[in-house]
Amino acid sequence: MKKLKRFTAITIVMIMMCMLLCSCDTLDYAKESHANWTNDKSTDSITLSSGDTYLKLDGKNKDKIVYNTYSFQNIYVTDKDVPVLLSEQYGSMLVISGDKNFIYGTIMNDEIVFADKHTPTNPINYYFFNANYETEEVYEDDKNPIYSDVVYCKEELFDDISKQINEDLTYTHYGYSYYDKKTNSFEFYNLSDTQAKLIDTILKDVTPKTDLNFPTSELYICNLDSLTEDNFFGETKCEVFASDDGKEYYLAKYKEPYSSYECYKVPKEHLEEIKNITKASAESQNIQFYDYSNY
Amino acid sequence: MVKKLFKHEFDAYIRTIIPMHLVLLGVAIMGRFVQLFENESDAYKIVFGSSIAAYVITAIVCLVLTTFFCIKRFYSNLFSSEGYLSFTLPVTSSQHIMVKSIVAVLAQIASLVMIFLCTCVLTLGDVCVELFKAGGYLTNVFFDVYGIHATFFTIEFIVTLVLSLAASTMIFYACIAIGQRAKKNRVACAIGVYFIYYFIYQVIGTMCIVLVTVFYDAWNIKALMQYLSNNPIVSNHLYFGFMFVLSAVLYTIGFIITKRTMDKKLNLE
Repeated sequence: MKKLKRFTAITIVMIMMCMLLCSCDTLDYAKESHANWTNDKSTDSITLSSGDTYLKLDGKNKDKIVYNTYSFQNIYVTDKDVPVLLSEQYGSMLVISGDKNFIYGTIMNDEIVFADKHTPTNPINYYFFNANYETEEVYEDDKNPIYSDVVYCKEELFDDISKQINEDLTYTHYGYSYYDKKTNSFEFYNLSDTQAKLIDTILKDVTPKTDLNFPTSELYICNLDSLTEDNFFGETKCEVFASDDGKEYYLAKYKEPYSSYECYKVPKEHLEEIKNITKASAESQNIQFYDYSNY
Repeated sequence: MVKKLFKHEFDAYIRTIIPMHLVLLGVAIMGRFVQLFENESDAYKIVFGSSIAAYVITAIVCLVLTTFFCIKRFYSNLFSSEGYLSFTLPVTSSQHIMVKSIVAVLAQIASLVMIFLCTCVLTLGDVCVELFKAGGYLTNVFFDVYGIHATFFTIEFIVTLVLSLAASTMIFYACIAIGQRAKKNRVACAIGVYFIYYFIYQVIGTMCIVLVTVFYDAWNIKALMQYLSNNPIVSNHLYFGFMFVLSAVLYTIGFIITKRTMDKKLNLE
């Protein structure tokens, strides 16, 4: 009887210890999404819960940074004393790219972020109803904007990228990013010179058609970018779309101010080549083409 | 003698409420145990959801049964055959009522505390720690925003909560006291009295809302509402003050009705 009681007591204690040590997936995800401003009263640096530090970038090429957007995660950046469960209510929401190299988004200026610990979730209401920031002059003051687009990069990459961000960029190749299921990582598909020439040929020789309704049933395949050697900076060359049965491909350039696409239909003789080029992106997105031959 | 009365009341409550609390604790432990096997499968989601639902239902049942037992204890100890013994004790009817209402309130507070502790068991581990951190942070924010008034709000809230519990218990006692004046079906009569009281309460509340709406401009109610919305501290103090007075009035009315019935109209089974 004594042995049974001792055994029962030890089992209960071990179960209680397991309960104490176990967490839950929702909380683990919340912790991954939680980050802190590294220094008090400054938005120059972010530290994730994993310990990685990201430093703010600024320069003329800030808008040309290439983000791996196939799988991104929202993160909530708060003061150090804000607990994980309140990070969404009291934090600034930013986005971390799929390859974890960059954090980007829009935040309020430092004065507003740190003006009050209880940063409101709706900054517009805060601006209009808070006695400190209700003047039209402050809202329209370009020198002291309320919002600003920000980009942060990993500390290890900061030296390299901060040089390039202010220099004239040299694009060396075309490429696109995709998610490789085999390696479970984000990769870049860099086009060879021959493939790049093919793209240029199509864009030069094919007469484009401007379509205000494009795309309708067409499937998005990938963005083809002109990229620097390290793939960190780029500009969109064109977007690749396919018809829903996969028999037609289009290279499309987005045109302002009418918010329409200029479409270059890929000639039949080049169709297989374009399919091969964009195959990696189509597979990563599980794109399935319809087969209308049975109808 | 009042001390002995308290002791016997507590004994009676402990005998009934402790098993309920142990069941609640058992359900919380089972719920936490289920979380040890967390995974993405549908089976786990169903089991986990069921364990949480079971805990919530058990907590609600625990609260309801505590209140039910408070009413039942009052009725059986004073208005059934046990009443012959109770009224032979050298204790006044006021003391009977006060002891029972105080112990009933304490029992309901104990149930609320037990639900809080069992919720901590259900979330034992990282989740519980993070919940406490969030609670602590929000408390700091509350005191930062309201300063010294936060302390007063906390005190006012606790006092109003306790008095509201006491008032609602006393209303139940008054309904039982009125019900036992009937010759037959006393319990049914007491339930009917409670419904009538609730109906009158709602009618008075609705009439107040209608009056406020009709005379919104004429009685400067609009200006008052604007003042209150611009001054949350004042409006919160006024709210707690109003609830305190309302609960005190209801408690007093219930007490008087119950005492008069026990003194003048007692009719034991």
